[in-house]
Amino acid sequence: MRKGQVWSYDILTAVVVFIITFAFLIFFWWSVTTLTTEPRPEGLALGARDISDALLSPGNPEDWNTVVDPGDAGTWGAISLLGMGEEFGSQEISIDKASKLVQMDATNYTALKAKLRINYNFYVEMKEFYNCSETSIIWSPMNCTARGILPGTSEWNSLEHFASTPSGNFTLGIGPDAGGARSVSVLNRFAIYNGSLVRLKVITWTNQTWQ
Amino acid sequence: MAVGRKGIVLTLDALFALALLLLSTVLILILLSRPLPLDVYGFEPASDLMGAMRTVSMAELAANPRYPYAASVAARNLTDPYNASVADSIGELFLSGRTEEAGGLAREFLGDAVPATFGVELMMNTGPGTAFSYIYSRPGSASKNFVGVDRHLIYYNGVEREMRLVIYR
Repeated sequence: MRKGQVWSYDILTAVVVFIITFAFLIFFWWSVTTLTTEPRPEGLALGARDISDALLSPGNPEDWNTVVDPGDAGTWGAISLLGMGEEFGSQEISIDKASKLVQMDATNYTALKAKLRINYNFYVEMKEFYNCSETSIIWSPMNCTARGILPGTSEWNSLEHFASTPSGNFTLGIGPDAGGARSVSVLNRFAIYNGSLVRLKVITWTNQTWQ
Repeated sequence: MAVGRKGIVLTLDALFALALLLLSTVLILILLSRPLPLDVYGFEPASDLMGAMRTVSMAELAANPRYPYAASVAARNLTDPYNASVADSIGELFLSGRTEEAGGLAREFLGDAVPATFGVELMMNTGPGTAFSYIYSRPGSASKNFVGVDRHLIYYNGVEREMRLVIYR
């Protein structure tokens, strides 16, 4: 056996062992990361569904809007489930509950998020559909100009408009763009609000990503 | 690389190979750990929309300035009873031969709410086992990937009829 040959076999063996060990390490690392990285994408989508289901229910207690002060998060403990529905089995949204939710969002987003039992950030908007140029709208008390939508603007020309509550336009939470979202889940639901068909868009989002 | 002694040359070669191996491993790890943004979009329209059509009454719709066509239908006393749900009113109009009014009412209520990327089909049969006729349809994707369906039963002239709403993309 010549010198050099011995070294070559040693190194060859070492390299083989090294490659096998590294392959195991990479596989292990990849598996662990895939299994444990939170939140999971399914969780984000399920979160949007959970929020939409809760919001279209009457909530618990059903008259929660009469027993809490939306401006004081300390009184929200009486609510076990936040919802805007008039009653179970109905697609109708209560104007008062929607208005209270808008106030609660303005008071404390984090506390509202905890009440909705969601681990992700969220954004909810409610839009209704009508044509600002329609004669029946122009001559009605709910005309677009009175709501600050001016002729010629993109919102005037759009058929989608934010549903209005006594506390302002119905939006809850922080928008994904404003929050720098990297992962987003969107769910659309429909209901009746103030005698009109409305679309409830529920967005859950996070700054985290998945592989 | 000639260094004079045997073995040392081979060891240095192996070190170069190891360095290359490490480099490629690091590159693979970087590629594996690169974050990928996620977007999940859901649309659950048919049962919600049918539920909304069952919930709101024709009287409410007619009194709402957002629905001028419903107001014109109500003003002509074309639906009976006046306080029936929108779903019942559309079905009643269609079954009584007022197909244009039924389609117009469905278009006014559903048309703008469902995004343009989705197709809408509101249909009705004339009794159990009979073929469906369109009350209102708006084409979507030609491939018609299924999205959602719901139905509403209407009793008209003593026969049970089915109104079916299909949303697809």
